[in-house]
Parts: sequence; structure tokens; C-alpha cells
Amino acid sequence: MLKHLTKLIWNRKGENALVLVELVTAFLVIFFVAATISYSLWLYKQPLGYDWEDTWELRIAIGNSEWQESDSETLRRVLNTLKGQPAIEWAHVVRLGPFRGWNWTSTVAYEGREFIPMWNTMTDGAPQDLGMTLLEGRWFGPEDAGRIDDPILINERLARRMFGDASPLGQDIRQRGEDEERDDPALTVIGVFSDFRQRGDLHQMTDYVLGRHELEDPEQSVYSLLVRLEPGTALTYEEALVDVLSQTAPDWRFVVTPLSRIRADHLREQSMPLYIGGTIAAFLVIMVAFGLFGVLWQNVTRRTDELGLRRAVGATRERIYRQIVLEMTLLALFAAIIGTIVGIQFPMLGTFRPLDWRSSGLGIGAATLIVSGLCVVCALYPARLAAKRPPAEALHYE
Amino acid sequence: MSELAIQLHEVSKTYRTDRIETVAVHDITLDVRQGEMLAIMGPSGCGKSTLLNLIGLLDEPSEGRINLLGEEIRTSRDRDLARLRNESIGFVFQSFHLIPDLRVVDNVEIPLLYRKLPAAERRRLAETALERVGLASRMHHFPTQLSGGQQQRVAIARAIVGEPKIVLADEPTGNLDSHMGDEIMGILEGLNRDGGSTVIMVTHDQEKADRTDRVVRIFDGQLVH
Amino acid sequence: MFRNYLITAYKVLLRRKFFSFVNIFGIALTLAVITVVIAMLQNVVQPLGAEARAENYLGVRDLMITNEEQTSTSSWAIGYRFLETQVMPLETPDRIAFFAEPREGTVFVRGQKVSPRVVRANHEYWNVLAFDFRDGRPFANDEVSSASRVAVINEAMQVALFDGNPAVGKRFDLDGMTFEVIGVVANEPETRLDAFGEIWIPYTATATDGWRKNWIGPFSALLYAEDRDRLPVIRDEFTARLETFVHDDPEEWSIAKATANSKLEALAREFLDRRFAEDSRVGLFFGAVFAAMVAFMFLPTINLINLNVSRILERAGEIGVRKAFGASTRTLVGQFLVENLVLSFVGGILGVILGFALLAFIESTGMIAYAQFQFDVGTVLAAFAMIVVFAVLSGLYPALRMARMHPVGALRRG
Repeated sequence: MLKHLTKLIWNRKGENALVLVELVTAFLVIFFVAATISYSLWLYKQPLGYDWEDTWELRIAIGNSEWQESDSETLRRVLNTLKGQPAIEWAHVVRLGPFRGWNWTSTVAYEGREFIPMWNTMTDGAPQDLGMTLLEGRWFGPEDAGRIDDPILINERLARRMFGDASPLGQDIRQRGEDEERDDPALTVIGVFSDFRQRGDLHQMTDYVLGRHELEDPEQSVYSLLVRLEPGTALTYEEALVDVLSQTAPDWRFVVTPLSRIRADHLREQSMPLYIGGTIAAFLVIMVAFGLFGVLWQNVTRRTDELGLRRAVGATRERIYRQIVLEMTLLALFAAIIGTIVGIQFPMLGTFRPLDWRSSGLGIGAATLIVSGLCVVCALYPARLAAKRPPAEALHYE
Repeated sequence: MSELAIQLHEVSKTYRTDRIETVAVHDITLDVRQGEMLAIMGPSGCGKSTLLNLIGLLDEPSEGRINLLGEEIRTSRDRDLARLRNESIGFVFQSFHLIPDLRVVDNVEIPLLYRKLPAAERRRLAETALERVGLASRMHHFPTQLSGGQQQRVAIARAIVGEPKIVLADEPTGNLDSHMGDEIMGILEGLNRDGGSTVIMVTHDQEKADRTDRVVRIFDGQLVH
Repeated sequence: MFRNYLITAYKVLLRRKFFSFVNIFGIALTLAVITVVIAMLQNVVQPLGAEARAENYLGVRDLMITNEEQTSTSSWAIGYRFLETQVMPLETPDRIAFFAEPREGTVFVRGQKVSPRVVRANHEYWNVLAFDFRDGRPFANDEVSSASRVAVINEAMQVALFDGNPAVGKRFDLDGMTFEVIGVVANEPETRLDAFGEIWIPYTATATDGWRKNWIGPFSALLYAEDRDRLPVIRDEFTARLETFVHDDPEEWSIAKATANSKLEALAREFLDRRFAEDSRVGLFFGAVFAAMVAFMFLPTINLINLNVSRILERAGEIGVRKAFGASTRTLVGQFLVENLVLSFVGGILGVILGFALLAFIESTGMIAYAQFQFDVGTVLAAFAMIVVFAVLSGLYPALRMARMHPVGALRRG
């Protein structure tokens, strides 16, 4: 029977081609949206690598001008003031604060291979206080002051990609453009941490290099601080804090934002395209469903004499019903095969990172299910209609 | 005396549409022997086709009893009727009713699809049936590539592929010219003579009717003797 | 004949309620989305609200400084030094406005934080842009030179800071400095990049003036001409003057790249990532937008084609009869296309209404600050143009198929 139906579908390819194009397009739309959503969900479930609760970001604007050496003195005063506040557990410089989408990249080379990790610097103790996980080696500390080389920590992803199974500890890597002969200080890996997903829950995994922010160096500019509050501190504390800081640093402006709010904004902003894509896909699917339903209905009406004949030569109602549903299922599966062949190109070529094997697989699965489900559901009623018609009437339909 | 293939006992069929009742067939009693070739004649709209549909179990009588091959049809269960149609009856229609999207051989195979038969066996039986109607060479054509007479021969092949005891033909030559009509008649006669099939044919062509063993006439849904 | 077509179309519409519904539903939803996209584009590009004179100015928004070898590059908005040396000396513009990009400020109102977007501007800003002053006045040249602590606020801030009471003459603390409100203007949506802000202060009113030394900095300039035909002259002068660019550190920064653009050109550059390229490729931009819309319409169109094919096959009998009685193929195709147009128009009108409802919804969510999409004839016309494209696309193939239909076959199939 399966073979018979396949023949029937194939011989009717002229009529089925357009329906197939429609199904394949719907398949691909669902595939993209489902794969992207599943990738985002996966990203969301991965650990961030740090705690953000009860933490505020303090952005500093230095009178709209660039950092001057004299500002490093102001910074020390600000940090001391912050640490003196009873409501504040700790305060650190984190050059690029979390959830902001800020991006600082610089190419590094190791044994001729180049990597483009993201960079950040923090003051001593910040990684520990942020609850980051050290996997190997040690964090930086006051003992690293005055070193000629720059001590850095790298995340697990970069360690694996750069050094494979070998231990990265003590390895010297160089920034691009610097070579051995020049006496630029090398970067020495002193530790490996699990991750610091600075740009937030919905951003892709990246290679990451964490350097030590040297408060001793007056040229290192700072535009962002993080402070951890004692649990239960009211949000209204913000005004008092800004007041105190304005007295400590009259030339600076402070913008205080809780990380929870930045994160909420970040999540909303990043998931907006997913909502829009999902809505559009849903609307297309509904439209396709209506269309299919109409086409099938027509199809069944036109094939009255074929179906009547089948009844006359001994097909039961049940079989007619099953035939129509099966035909649509076959068509859907055929569309799914074509769609899968197209869809599988993305992870194979690896051009678009959200479409990796895992999310593409889920996307293909979801698209196959939805498209076949759609076809079957749309076929049920017309098939019942066809099966119910008495064969004598069907044969004299002309 | 040979056994009865079909026995109709006081069969009536009434159609109801809205408020109007139409009596299509009224109080018909008819016996057809196995191996008989019978013609049903009558003017248009007299109920010939309805009668044939009742015999072919495509329609249920409003009243009366039908015996098919010595077995009384008591059931109206779709599955049982479908099985009886499949195994005992072969249909030939005036307008052929071939499926245009299937090749000739696939069209002939259709009745076998509803039996449990391996694909190779189905194919073999279909080829044999096509040979019997002299169309083995056109097996892989589509119906639209054939002439009307050839299409009707395909329809006959489809009707006999399952080796039914009874072949029902509803104006099988109605859409054909006289030469092709003769050919079809020849095939039906051959089936009856050589294969021992019971053939019941609806026609309004006296000449064709004369070639059968017996002719019954219907007028206004009733048998006239 | 046409009237006859319309009557038949209307009857067919009523007879096949389900198909009509599906057709109209699909067209309406598709066009609603397209209406929203067109309306959004128009609100970014068209001279509306305070940007009413946008066709009389060119904007200079981005600056990249680099050197021959491109060993260093730096880019952002233009800085004050660049304004001083490259923009203010221009002779052809009648007015030159400049303003810093909106920056989040902090104001505390009874312990609650308000974070208005603050814009620093010069006095010409108020002459080039056409703000709707609900109260008070803009700040003047002498107030800018003397770095007066005066501010113009929008109506939303009047509510947020002063509970909607008359605000002119009142004072508030912004980032540790006290400002006096001198004017209140109507809200401008976030999509109007030149006019958007919540509080405007003189660009000089800052705690320190380190910004005076920067080449790259937060400013944009608007070069205004009374006579819009002179804009190309202004563009040429601006481009020519870039050649004279000399940085304080001429070794490291020898080249400045910037462009003066209309709003449409700016959008095209942004979209195509050609901020510093010589030409803006507006045509390519329109091509890309059109291609995206066509891609979006692909599935709905295929869907409609499928439905229409079924619709035609269903009516094969009718078509056969018409053909048998002498209707020419052309008449039949004409009739079918008219039917399809009628359907598309009904769906299209619903779609445009739905689109405006969607826009109203977007306005109400506050996703885009102070969004106010105008009911614009251009939008409606553009949407209708899309409807026609849609109708022709989805009607053409089925109509051709109908034309090929053989009368006898059509009769038999009925």
C-alpha cells in the first residue's frame, strides 16, 4: 500500500509540487526559529560563572572627558568610601561589567595559532567575591604587583582550545604583533577558571582572558565598579550612596544600576527577536494550516470517483480514511527530508553558530513534528468526509 | 440446475431528499444463476443502475433481501460489505473510472491492494489479467494515453483480476463506438463462456442485449415481463 | 464587463465562505506585518515632528580617525575638537546645530530615581529642529556661552519630575548640579535620532570641560540650508574640508573619515554597515528591504497559489461550461484576476487596519519611547502597492493553469 501511495503521489507531482514547496518552506521557517530558540534556551541554562544577586553596577562618567592620571587618586578615595559603608559587602573595579554587551577583544597567538578572546580586568579578590570558579592554578593577588610579565587567567574553553590536554599553567602567550625579540612582556597563564559570561545569559560562549587590574598604575582608566550589598538593603539606599560618592568625588558623575535590572533588560532585549520570530512563525504556520486544509478538502472532493471506485472494489471506509491521512503523512515526510537536507548544511558548514548539531537536530525534530502534525490534522476532516460518502453516490458524481 | 449466484427477494430502494421521496426500485424479485449472462434493459432513469448498485452491494436496499452466492446479506457492516465486494464482485463502469494518476498496471492491481498479497504476486495477477484483455503491451501507459476501448479493457482487467464470481457492467459500451463496443462485448462473453463468470450487464442497446442468455426489462423501477 | 466581473466575484466570495475566509485571513496577517515594517521605516526616515525640516539639513554623526597603514583606528560620534576645526568653520550652511548623544542622567524625586536621557546641545539646535514648545522657550546663545544651568524638558519629564504642574521656573538636581527649567516641549519618539531626548541642557553645562580636548566624542552636527538645493554644495564643502584635517598627533592620526547624510542615507549606511564609505548606496538599501519583504511574502503567496489552484479546479465545471459557450480564455483569466483582486483588497484593508492596531499596541507597550506612528497616506499607499503585487503573484499561476484547461476535460472533471 505504501508503495502504491508513493506512486500515486509521485505521478501527481505536478499538483503536489506546490504543496511540497509550501511544506518545505514552512519546515525551514520552523527549523530556523526552533533551532534558534533551542540554542538560546541552552545558552540560558549554562552557568554564568558568577553571582549577580545583590550587586550594583556603578558607572562613572568623568565630566565627559578622558581619564587623567589624577583620577586614579579619586578612584582610590571612592573605593575606600565604598568599603567604609556598612551596607556594602565589597567593592571592586570590573572594567567591563556584566550584561552590558560590551566587547573588548584582542588577538593572542600561541605556537603560530591565533585566537580572538574577549578581555577584561578586575582588581584583586574580585573573582573570588563574584563567586567565580577556579579550576587550576591560582587567582591573581597583591603578590603580582610589579611583575614584568602580565599574569592572566583564561577560561576553560580557551585553555582547551589553545593547549588541548596540556597544562596551560606557566605558558607564555603573546598578543599579535609582538614577537620574542621585542622586549614586550609576555602574558603568563597563572590559572584557569570555568567561565565569566560577561555579556550575559543569552550570549554565545566565548574565549575569555582575565587580567589583573592594577590600582597602582595611574594610567589604567576605570569607568565601571561593582559593589555587593548586604542582603536586604533597600533600593532607596541608592540616593544616599550617590550623595556620599558625589562628596568624595565632586568631578565624577555616578549612575547606579542593580545588576538584576541590567540583566532583566538584557534578557528582554535579547529575547525580543525570538518572540518576534516565534510570533511570525506561528502566524505562518496557522496560515499554512488553513491553506492545507482548503487544498485537501478540494483534493478530496475532486477525487470522489477515485475514492468511490476504491470502495467499489473492496476498500473499507477505514482504509479510505487511512489512505488520505497516509498520503499527507508521506508528503509531509518527503518535505521533512528535503528540509532536513537543506537544514543539515548549516551545522555541517558551521557558518552560523546558533545552528550547531544539537540545536539543528532539535530544530529538525520540531519542524518534522509540526509539519507532519499539521498535515495529519488538516487531512483528518477531509478524509472523514471522503470516507463517509456512499460509494454509489461517489461513482455517479458526474 | 446450477446454483444461484444472486437472488433478490422483493427488493425496494427509496431515496429521500428533503421532503420528496423517490422510489428508484420497487419490489423486485430476480434470480440469476451462476454462469449466466444477463442483460438489464430499460430507458434512462428507470432504476437500472440502482438495481446494479444494490446487486453490487454499493447500496443498501430499503426493503427486501439479497442473497449473494447462496449467502444472505444481513450485515450492513462496512468491513464485511467491502470484503464481499472485493472477493465476489468485479465492476465495469460506463465511464471507466480509471485513476488518471496511476499507470495501467497499477490501476489493475487496485482490488488486490485490499487483500493480503505479496507485491510480486499482485503484479503477476495484474499482468495475467491484462493479457486476458489483450493489453499486456500497454501495461506502463497512463490511462489518458489509451483509446476509450482500451481504457474499458483495462477496467475489465481490473474487474477480473481478483477472480470474482460475478462481474457487474454498467453500460460498458455506452461511451464507445460500435466497433469497440463489439470488442468489449466479445471479452465479456469470453469471460462468461470460458471463465464461467456470472456477468450482469446494464444496457439500453437491444443488439448487445440479444447476445446474452437472458434479458430483463425495467420500467419505472419495476420488472416488466 | 467589469461590473459583471465584480458581481460574480462577490457571489463566489459568499459561496465559498471558508476559502474566502482563509484567503482574506492570510492576506490580512501578511499585510499587517508589512504595514508595521513600512510605518516603522517611514517614522525613521520621514521628516516628522521636530524633524519637520529634516529635508533641509545633512547630519554628520560618525567619525573615524586612522592613518595610512591603519595601525590605529578609532571611531564613534564626532568630538568637540573636530566640531571646532572641521564643522563650525564651514561657510555654506546657513545654520549649524550640534548635540551630544543622549546620556542617562540621574534625578531623585522624593527618593525615587528617575533616569532621563539628557542631551547637550548648542542654541542653533532649536532653530534647525522644529520642537513644539508647550511652555517657555529654548536656551539662547549667551546662555550656552555662559554655561548657564538651564534646561528644556519634555512633557513626560514634566510629569515625572513635577507631577505635571507648570514647570518653567522650577529647579531640579541632575547628577549633582541644579538646573532651572526654561521650556517644556512635546515628547519626541526614540526613533527620531536627531530630536530624541528627555532633558536638554547647554552643551557647556558640565562639571568639568575635558570634552573640549576630544576629537572623538559624543556629538553629532546638523548642517542646515534654507534652500535645500544647496545641500550638495554643503556636502562638497564638508568633504573637501576633511582634507585639511590635522590631529594633535599627526603621526598616529593622519586621516579623518566622515560623511554628511540625509536621514535616509544615514539609515542606509547604518544598515549596510557603510558608515565611512564614499557613497551611501540608498538603492541597495531599498533593494534589501524589498527583498526581505518578498522573502517574507513567499510562504503566504505559495499558500494562496495552492488555495487558488484548488479553487479553480473546484470550479472546473463552471469554467468548462463558460468555455463551451464561447468565453475566451482572456475573459476567464480576467475574471479570475478580478476575483483575486477583490479578495486581496478586502484582506488588504483588514490587514492595514490590523497593522495600525499593531502599531498602536507597540506604542502602548512603551518598547519604543514616546513612539507615535502617524497615520500616513504614504504608508497606506505603499501597503496597497504590496496588496496589488500580492494579488497578481498569487493569481497569476492559477489563472494560467485555468487558461490551459481543456473545455471537455473541465466538463468531465466537474
